[in-house]
Amino acid sequence: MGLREVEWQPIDLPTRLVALITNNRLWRSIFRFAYPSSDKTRALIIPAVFFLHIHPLKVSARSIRLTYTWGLGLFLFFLFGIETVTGILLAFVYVPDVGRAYSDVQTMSTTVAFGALLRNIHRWGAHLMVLAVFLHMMRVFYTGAYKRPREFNWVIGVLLLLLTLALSFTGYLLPWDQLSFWAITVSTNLAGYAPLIGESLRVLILGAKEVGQEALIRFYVLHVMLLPLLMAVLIGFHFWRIRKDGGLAASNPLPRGSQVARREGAEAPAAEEDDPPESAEGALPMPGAAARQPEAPAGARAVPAARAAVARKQTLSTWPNLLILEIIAGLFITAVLVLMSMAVDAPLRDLANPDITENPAKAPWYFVNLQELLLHMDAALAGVWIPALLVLALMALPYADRDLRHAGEWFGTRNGLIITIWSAVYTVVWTTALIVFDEKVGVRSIIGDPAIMPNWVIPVGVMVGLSAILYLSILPLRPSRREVLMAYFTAFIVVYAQLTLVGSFFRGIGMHLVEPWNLPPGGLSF
Amino acid sequence: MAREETQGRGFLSKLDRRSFMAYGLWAAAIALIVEGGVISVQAIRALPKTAAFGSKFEAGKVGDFEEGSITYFLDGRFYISRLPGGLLALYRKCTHLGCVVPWRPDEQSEDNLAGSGRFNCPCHGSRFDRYGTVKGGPAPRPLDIFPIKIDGDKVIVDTGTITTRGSYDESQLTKV
Repeated sequence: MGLREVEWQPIDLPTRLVALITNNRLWRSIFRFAYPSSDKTRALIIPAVFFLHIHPLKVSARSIRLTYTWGLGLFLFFLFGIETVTGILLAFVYVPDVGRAYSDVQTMSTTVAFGALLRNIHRWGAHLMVLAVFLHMMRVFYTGAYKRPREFNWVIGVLLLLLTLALSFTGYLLPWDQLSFWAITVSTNLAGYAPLIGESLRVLILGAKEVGQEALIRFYVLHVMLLPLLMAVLIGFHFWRIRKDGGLAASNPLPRGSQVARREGAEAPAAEEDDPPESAEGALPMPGAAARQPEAPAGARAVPAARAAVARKQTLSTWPNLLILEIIAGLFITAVLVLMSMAVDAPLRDLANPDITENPAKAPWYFVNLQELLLHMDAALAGVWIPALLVLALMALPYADRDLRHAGEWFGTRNGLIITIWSAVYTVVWTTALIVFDEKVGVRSIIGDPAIMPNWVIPVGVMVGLSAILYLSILPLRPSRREVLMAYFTAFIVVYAQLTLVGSFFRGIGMHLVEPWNLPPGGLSF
Repeated sequence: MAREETQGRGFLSKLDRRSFMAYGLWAAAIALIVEGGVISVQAIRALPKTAAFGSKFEAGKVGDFEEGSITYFLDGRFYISRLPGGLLALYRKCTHLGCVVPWRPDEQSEDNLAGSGRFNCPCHGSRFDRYGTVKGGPAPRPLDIFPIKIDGDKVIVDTGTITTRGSYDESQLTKV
């Protein structure tokens, strides 16, 4: 490898001590190289060390700026690690038996040393992970990082989002209290509305016709074995694709279109702009990685392109620039989580009682939005069709955008930012109006007959109509395909967040609107 | 093109030993995955219950039930509704999202069998009458029912068989 073998020349005491520890056969059989001290060894050590070799030797300076990634992917990686470690510790105490589960959780919170803290970390970490997945998805979307050749990695990301939800959901049942019992009852009944396979799917998930021992052991096995395994594999795949796709989108080389600019005699941008990205060295070229693109008017872009080319060229060695950021991200998220877990206890309500339904009975908070939708339309539409279509739309999203310009740039253009803000305002206003209207007046009280009107026709009509108006309203800005996608993605995120907030904080007994301070005890579904 | 003309006599003529083995290997691999999937799903299917809810349940004697009355069987998770002409075993689970529907004897009746008493779902406000039919709220269909058998004068409810229905009609009654 060309790495210098360890050769120490002991001089003073500390050095002598270090030498004593490191200058022997055992140490060197484990750590084969000295601590890297030159640019060359800092580069060479990356592929030589198992735990580092997923990294490129150098990373683009643009791609590791805090304001580009906000560290969200790293946070998720470390949160998964924290969940794994605390989960293993919890599993030493917890037995998935309806007669024991609840008291085991109580034991954990009261008797086991650091048990309450571990449980809190596990619980809040899971919620934080769901939140961070959404923020990460937003970051990737608004920076246009899903564009070719990274489309499939976006799809993997959507699968990871679903897995995160599934992991959180299966863990939700395990404490076997009223909260978990009724949240799972309500949510699995939603699955029962899927056409044809719904009821058999529900029975397959629960292992019985109602939530009971069979469901508990099923959820436990999914939660501690199958889903974490799948997750680990997909995380590995996700990372691998980042490498093979040439690092983060912000490290993209300039598109070849600018070559056209040179040929046509426009101002010449920097000389070697067509080189493959540094971070992809040694990688097989991915189809599309250096894809041509239909370019914008050449002359207009030549000068900024030249400046951008220089900026994009600037790389830093992974050791220590990226590694130190990774360590900081890990420490930061751990600190946040531990502080939060010291401050707030994870909820544990009364022992699950299949004979008494909590009022209100809410799904876990990240599904409360579906439950909120459910109040306004047919259960199959709200619980099955809309989420299924949304997931498909999310997966298809990167394939709808062929334009490679502005990949790795927040909001792409000023137009993009304007459209995003407009779409957010538009959606908040309409969603609020519709929720309040349905509560105070009610679609059913105006057109209740036939049932298909308030259940299907009107909700679908309203959603399609509002989407169409959103599209028409941004037309004067001459939006690109990406900007149209931005309008709709923003609408999705805003509706999702708003329904979650309304369902969590504004729905009381009988799922009627209340002020957050008048929520009944147990009205929150965290 | 010439090659295609001499050899292009369908799939079988091109199937030499090598490609036969190759196809066989692929077929075996696909079969293995399919079998693995089928076995996995079969192995985790819900098992029939032998005791408690999910089995046959004795709900007392025919004479115990007064006309217009609703009797709750907690362990069996059903209500016996004594209607004119017969019995109905109503599953207590709301057909909307599965909450337990409690009987409210003091609330305004939704049928003409008595002045008061109806089922109120706490989750999304569905209401049902003594026939189990929906009188309000988002529930999509009447409360599900269990088949009843009369053995001598004993009322036997089979909680392993859940019958869904679109509306009430008299054939659902078990005559007594």
